[in-house]
Amino acid sequence: MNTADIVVIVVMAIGLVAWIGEPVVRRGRMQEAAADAHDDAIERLILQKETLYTAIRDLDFDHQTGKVDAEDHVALRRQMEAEAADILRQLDLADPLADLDLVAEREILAYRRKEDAASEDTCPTCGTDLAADATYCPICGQLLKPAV
Amino acid sequence: MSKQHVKLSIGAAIVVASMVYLMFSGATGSTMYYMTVPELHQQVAAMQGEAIRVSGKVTADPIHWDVRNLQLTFTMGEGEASVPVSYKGVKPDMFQIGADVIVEGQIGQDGTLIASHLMTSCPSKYEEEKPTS
Amino acid sequence: MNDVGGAALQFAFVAALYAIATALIGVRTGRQELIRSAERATFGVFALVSVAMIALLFAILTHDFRVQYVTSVSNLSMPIFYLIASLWGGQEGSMLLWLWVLTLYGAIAVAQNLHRNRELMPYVVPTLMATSILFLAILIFAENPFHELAQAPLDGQGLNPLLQNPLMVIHPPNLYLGFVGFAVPFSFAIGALASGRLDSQWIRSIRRWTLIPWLFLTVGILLGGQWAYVELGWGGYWAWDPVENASLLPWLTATAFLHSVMIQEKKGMLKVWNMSLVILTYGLSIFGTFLTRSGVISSVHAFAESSLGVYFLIYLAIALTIAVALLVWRLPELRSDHRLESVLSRESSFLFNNLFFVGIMFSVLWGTMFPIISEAVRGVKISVAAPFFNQVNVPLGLALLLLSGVCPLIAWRRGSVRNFQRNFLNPLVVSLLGVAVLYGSGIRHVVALISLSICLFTFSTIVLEFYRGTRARRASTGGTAWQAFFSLMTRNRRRYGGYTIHFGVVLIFVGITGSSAYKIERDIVLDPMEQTTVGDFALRYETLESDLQPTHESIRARVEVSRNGRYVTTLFPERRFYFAQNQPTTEVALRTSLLEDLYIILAGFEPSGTATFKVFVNPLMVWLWLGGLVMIIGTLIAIWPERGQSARIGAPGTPTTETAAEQG
Repeated sequence: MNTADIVVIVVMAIGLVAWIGEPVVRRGRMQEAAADAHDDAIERLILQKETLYTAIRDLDFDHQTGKVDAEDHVALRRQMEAEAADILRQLDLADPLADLDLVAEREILAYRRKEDAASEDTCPTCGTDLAADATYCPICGQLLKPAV
Repeated sequence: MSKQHVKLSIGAAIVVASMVYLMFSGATGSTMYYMTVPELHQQVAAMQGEAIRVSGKVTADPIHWDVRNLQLTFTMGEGEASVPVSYKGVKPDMFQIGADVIVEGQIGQDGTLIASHLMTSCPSKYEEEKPTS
Repeated sequence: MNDVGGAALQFAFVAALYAIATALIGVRTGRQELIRSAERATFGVFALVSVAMIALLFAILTHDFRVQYVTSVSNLSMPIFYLIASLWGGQEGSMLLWLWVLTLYGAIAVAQNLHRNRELMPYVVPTLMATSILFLAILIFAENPFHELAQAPLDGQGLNPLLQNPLMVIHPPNLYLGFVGFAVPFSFAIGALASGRLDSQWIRSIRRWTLIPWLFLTVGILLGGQWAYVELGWGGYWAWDPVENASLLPWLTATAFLHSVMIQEKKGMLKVWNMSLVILTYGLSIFGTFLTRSGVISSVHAFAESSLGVYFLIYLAIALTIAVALLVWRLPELRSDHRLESVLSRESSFLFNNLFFVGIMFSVLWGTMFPIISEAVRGVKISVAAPFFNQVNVPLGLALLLLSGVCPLIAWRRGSVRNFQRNFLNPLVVSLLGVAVLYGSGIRHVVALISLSICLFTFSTIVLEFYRGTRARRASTGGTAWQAFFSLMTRNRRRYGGYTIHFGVVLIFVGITGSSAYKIERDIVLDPMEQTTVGDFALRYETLESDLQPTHESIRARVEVSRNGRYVTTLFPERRFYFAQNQPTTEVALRTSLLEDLYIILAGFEPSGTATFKVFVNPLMVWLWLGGLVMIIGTLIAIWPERGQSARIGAPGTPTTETAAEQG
């Protein structure tokens, strides 16, 4: 073993010990744990909310592409909306920042309103529920209003 | 258990049953005895007509390689035991005296192993190079 | 430098042990600083293993033949490209690369989670480090890459010429990147089980961590197949060899997991199943490494000779015992949030998909282990050959392909029979028409007809999915069809990336079907200037040419290929003789077209110039590789981060417009 190698090995060992040992020696900023737990609870709720929103979007998409019947679509959607509302309430209780929830509330309201508006229009050819501003029927392709 | 679960379980059971059937029927059709040269040597007569897969080394006995007919004859052995092998096909790259080979085939009338497949140890296993020369 | 490399590995070993101990003590006593220190140790381990890699590379590049490893894999005449490749061209080096990739993945995983998943990390770190310790122990105690010879030879033996192929240079790292990567999902699964944080958050954290190794493994398997095809010279790409099976096993369970995890994300179902798949995938990737390293299957005596096998088996037994024990302990907390609502739903089609994947995995494992099982049960070693694997896996694979076509036609939660029938009709008509055309054009091979009809069916459902989605999207947002198509893709990368992958799989099935059902294989002996025909091709053997290179001598035959009297190309099947390794190799001559591959091997020649050729015509072969390419593209689409994903959750203002647009 030559001297250069020994020097490199010693430097490596010292560096390793210093790097690993540093947090143990300086234990100043270690109060993160408590804060994390609270954030985790909220994060979990947000995650559930997101999952539900995705599920609603998937449901709508399945309906648009003709895989879910209109009746099933309405029933399932109502059920999921109820679950989402419940989660939003929990989020309200858990989250001190209420304004973030207001946004979410608005989100759900927008969903509802859209849904209501949508069910007023049906396709003249196949009877599918349509969005208010639809140009084509997503199921049968019927042109609903002249293209601009 | 709900009705949906019953239906699903029946479907799953059918699938699993057919997979098990496939596995067992497949296994009975394509099995071969897997043995070393000494093991084969002890029971050459008993193994006649059976599909076998034998592993061993190429011995120093002369290797005949008939290029025109793609006919390769050599002796495969391990320790004291050895068995003559006859193979029709391309000589593998790694084939040489001392190489580890796996041969699939049947024992013929004269005790020669008629090989349908000849494999040398695969380089993807990164086996250490045997010192040559 | 060699001593530095050796020391770095030993330090890494100590640091890994330290990380395990401190992380566990830290979580027991609630002392965060210990957990932080353990996390730093994982970075330290990565740095140290990197030092060892550099030291070994240095030894190879400077031709330090005192080092046994360098002597066995390289020599003075090798070009630099293969010198670098010889870093993983032998047992020790490839283990070191395995370890390096593992510690790299570990360091990235820890760095990503410095402020997330804090409850999981005290268990994630020890799990990752335990796997590292397995490889460190092997490298330090059994297969030291820096082991020095008493006397340095003047030149090394060089890399096995069969491995001197660009494909073989990138194939092993690819497989390792795949194999090793499953250690990360596994460690998060252990973290979730041990900490009790069993909600779907850990699943989300590892979503990409399963897709990336899966991609590498897919590429690795395909490259391995292609290497076998162009280099080994037996005209095929897959032989159900234990080594090949070893790479397929974790791929199958990982693929099953990638599908079933969607159900857990969406419905909170199948939690135990997913956990088991993650554990199984990890177990199989370690087991696969064990199979390829110990030679327990291929060679009868290797088990006693190889000290490595024992390390792997002990480790595997410990890891699986702990994982299963944790799983059983948490069983009551892993109940499903929802129940299955209908048999005709995408959920249940995913269940069957999983059943098939695991079934295929089990049959491959069964076939691979058959010699050992039969020896234990009946005292005789009985092996099963390729026909077994084909007989079992062809029907299962086709069923799976059909399922991938049917599945997108069914809605989540509750599909209706009426909708299903309507959606089913067009693809069915297309596939029946296709079969009629194929039958009319003279194809009578039953399995090929079935396979191609399923390919057509699945292909048309994929096209239909893209078409319907685009139309729905266009109805809601307007714009041109292309705009709608792209916004559809970018909005749901996972779904359409997945469909793209399925399209690649369809192409692969087309390639496999063509090349196995209609393969032509001929042995031909020709005198110079003699002509023969194989399939549609007329081959004329002209002369033998020889050429002397520094590392090898090559003899090649000049073969002119024509079809229907028209000149096509000239091919040069070749045999080389490598001096350093004292070994001949076969260089395949290949002409690829979209319809078929012409594949010629120079099997031998006589002094008179008479040469023996082995000729294959493999129809549709190229579609297999193109399908692989499509799979890679599809995976990249799915992996690519979704833009605006995070913005949609928190930022005020955006959500309403987003959802309105989405809603249409």
